Amino acid sequence: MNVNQKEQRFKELLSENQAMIYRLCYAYLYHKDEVDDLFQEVMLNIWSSLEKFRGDAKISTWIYRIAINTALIYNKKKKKDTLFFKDIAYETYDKHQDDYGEVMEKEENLLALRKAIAKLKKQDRIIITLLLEGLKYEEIAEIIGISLNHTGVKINRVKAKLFKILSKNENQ
Amino acid sequence: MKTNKINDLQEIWQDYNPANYLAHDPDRIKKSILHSVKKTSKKILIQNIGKSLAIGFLLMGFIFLFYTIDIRTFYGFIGAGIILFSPLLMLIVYWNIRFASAKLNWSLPQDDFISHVLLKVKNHHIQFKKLFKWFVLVLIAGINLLYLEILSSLNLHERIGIHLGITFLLVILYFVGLKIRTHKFRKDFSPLTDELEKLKN
Repeated sequence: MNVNQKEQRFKELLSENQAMIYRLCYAYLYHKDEVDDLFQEVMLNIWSSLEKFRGDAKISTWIYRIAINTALIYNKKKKKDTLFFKDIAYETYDKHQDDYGEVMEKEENLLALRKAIAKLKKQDRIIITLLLEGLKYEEIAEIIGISLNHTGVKINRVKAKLFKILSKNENQ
Repeated sequence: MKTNKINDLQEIWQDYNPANYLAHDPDRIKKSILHSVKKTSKKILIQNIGKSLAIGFLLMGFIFLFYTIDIRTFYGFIGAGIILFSPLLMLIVYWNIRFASAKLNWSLPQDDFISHVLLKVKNHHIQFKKLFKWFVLVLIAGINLLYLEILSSLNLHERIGIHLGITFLLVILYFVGLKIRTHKFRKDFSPLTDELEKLKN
């Protein structure tokens, strides 16, 4: 694979998967600069691993694995996994735009979901993020590297935890 | 937000689409990758310059030292050669065995990746300890060979005393060096390995 082919392949992969990669980084870290930094590191690892992809797994599975593994190491290097949401400002919207209310509601729901995810353990955060991305149990099992049954048990446990946190936050 | 359905949460989650933000500048991704590659290349270049300078100074220092000593015997030359080349060999081997994130297999399933990283970190320390032990042993042999020549004018008792003293000093330095290195290793890698061990369990 020459450089131009590699660049072309890389661009194709990113246009198909960048939103998912970014959301995954978004579930791990909270400040935009940090998320951008992790996103960039994931891209760099995808770029440097591209020639090693042999097609023995689906390309999306391969990308998820790289993204998750990068996030695992990234947090340890930066030691910034104890960040708080109070530092996050809402994005600014024009109050006069027609769908302002709807946009704000979506924003608030997303923030509430992120706050709940942040209260989960690292491993649980990974599982729930993959589930929220709409991945099947089989795919999640393949990404994490555990059996399908074990994955099912874990997913049910994490889902229950998440709903409990959401409900608790709602009542506060 | 009141819901007990995962589908609702999936909708909220997937509704956040950073693709627009990322696609705002079509060259953004390419630029950021190139920026990272350049940054990494620059870092590697600085490290390589540093390594070359370190080797250069080491060589110059030793050559100057041996020039002033005026070595004449075969074992003197062997000893000087060992002292000259063993640190260089040690540095080269160390740079190749040490833990580097660029050498990791990022596309492994998460559980395998955790084991892979833990093994790499563990091997890094084990191999360093082996390398350091051999380096000190070879250095002790080299210095003693060189001192055979340097001390040739002294009587046997004095020579044995000095050889034992040098050897003892190097052994002490070996243990001190190993202790410092182990402390630094733990400080650098414990946050990573502890967390990964926790995840593994």
